[in-house]
Amino acid sequence: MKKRKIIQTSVFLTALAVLLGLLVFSVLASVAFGNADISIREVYSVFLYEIFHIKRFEEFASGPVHDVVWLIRFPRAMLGLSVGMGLSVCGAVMQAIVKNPLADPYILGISSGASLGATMAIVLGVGSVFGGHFVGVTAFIGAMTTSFAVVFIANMGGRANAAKLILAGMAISSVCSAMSNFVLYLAHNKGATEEVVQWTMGSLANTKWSEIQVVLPIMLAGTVIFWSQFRSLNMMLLGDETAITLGTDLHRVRTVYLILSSVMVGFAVYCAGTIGFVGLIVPHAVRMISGTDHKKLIPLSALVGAIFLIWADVACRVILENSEMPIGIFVSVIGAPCFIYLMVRRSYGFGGAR
Amino acid sequence: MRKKKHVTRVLAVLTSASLLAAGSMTAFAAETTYPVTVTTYGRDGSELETVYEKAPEKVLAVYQGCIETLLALGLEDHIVAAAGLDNAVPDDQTEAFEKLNYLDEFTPSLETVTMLDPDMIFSWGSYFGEDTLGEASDWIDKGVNTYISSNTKSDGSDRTLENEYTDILNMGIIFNVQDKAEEIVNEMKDTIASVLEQTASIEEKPTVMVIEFGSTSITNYGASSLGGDMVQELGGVLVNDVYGSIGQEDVIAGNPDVIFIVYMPYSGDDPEEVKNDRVSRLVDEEVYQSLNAVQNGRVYPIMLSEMYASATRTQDGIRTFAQGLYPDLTLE
Repeated sequence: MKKRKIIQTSVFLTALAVLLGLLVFSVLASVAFGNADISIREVYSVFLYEIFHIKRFEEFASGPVHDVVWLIRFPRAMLGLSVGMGLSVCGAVMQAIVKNPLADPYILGISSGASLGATMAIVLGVGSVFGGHFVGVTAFIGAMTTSFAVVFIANMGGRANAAKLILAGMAISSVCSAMSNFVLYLAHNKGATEEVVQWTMGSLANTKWSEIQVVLPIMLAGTVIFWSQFRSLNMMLLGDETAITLGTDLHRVRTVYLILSSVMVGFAVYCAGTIGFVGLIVPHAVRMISGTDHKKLIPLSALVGAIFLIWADVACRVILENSEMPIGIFVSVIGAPCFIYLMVRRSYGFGGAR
Repeated sequence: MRKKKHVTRVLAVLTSASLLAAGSMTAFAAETTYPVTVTTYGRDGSELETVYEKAPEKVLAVYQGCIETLLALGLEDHIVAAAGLDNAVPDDQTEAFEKLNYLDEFTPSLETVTMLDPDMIFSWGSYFGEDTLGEASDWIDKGVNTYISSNTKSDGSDRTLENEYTDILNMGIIFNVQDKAEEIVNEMKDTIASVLEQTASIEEKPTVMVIEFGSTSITNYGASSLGGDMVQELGGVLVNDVYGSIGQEDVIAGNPDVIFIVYMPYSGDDPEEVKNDRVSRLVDEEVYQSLNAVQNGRVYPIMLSEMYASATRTQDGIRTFAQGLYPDLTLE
């Protein structure tokens, strides 16, 4: 028995190390892909110059090659890493909180709240005082407001439980999408409608280093915090009654988790719009292999999600010649069939016993 | 000898007569003989034949270019109602515009249109959608002629300058004002001819991108867009053929000599502010500093309505493009 546990742990640690290596490789490799014709040697010369300031590569300190590699492709890869990690972890956490395998990071109405924010920003110019990235800022505010509203509503007339959270999320979601449609309809602005649609499909394009500096630490910190909370997360799968019988009240931690994951998802939305499906499918896919223990599920989901999104973005950049497609479309087109395949091939369970 | 002189005289008379005839041809263009058949399109690009027994008297004109075309042809008395302006009409049309019945509804509903009882609807393809007015062919069957701007059908066909000319000339035929229509189109053609003549000696024509910055995306106007066609007609060379969304990297990979930034102020916006904001999304971004166009200060704004279903504003678009492509150019 003890021996089996040691083997399991070492398998887990190996998997973790392999995925970590794969992640580093993905970041470095993804930078070599793109529409601009840049040789691999040039790509890594820019890296060597920027990181180690090696004199020999000084010719790569500026100019188009430098700009494409260092100001366009590399921040994108880092954003893919941050957002993929954050969404996957939040997906796993949300699935535990609401005890529902259909949950994704947006279940509490965050995506429709964010869309409403973005719609108001694009169509009505709300929030333009926030400067260049005001659409993201307004979307962030929309996302946060809706998730707090959901938590508040679910707590009215008695304590929140999984079912009440889902229902509140649904209700707020409908209100928000109705409002965005209303705004879009009244505006009669075809260009704006198109932009909103584009925005809701998500994109890692036009990322700046200043955004990475904010988003990456938040996603990393969130992931580590949730990882440390694996016991409570495991307990949530057993349900409130069982938890109380075992001497733990999950009510407070649930609220704290909701707020933390809302912040993480809010920042993902701020940078990349709403990228669907990653947060739903990655935790499930990982669970099929690792089992439901959050001690393994959280870190593995984080790594797999990060790697997945980085490569999805590469595909979006190279599939169409001289142009690119929104990542949300690609993720769903590729992700859904893979997910169905995994589901059919293995008998799949969600909570409790493995 | 005498005989020969006689022949010369006859020849001279003949020549002057034909010259006179040619002169009168341009001065007094053809009159429309009704009934006249005009080819237009449904939203999906299918060809529709419409027959006009006389010049329409109750036209519903929806959207900028349609209203402005009719006003430019002096047809304000034929318009029963107008709607859908993004911006005010040009100053020389303001007086005529004030006489129009301009509706509050941006795109008048089926009910409103039915009550107006128009004998012709002149608009964009998108107006004949399932949840707007319904199929154009159904209106024609009902006895209401439709005409859509040829560059607004949604079949993915190329959008061309020629289509804009055709629309204006067709309005000339429908309303029997062919001389005015030809005058407008000839002015556009003459401008292009004059640009090509003045720049004939330039061997390497400037390379060009026409792009529009959205909040998160960049749209490129390639060869199949009207803007792209205008650039090519003026001798510019497009570096990216995509008509649609592109990435930052594609702009840098294209690195053209000249970049036109599309901007569009809608009613209520401050045009200068919108223009400066869109231009700054290129010239003030760190990412784009290596571009030739940015370094050489060859980034020019162009208003969307001058290069998208632009109708009579096509003339403005041609001039904007020409002056950006060839800064040394002198246009009348």
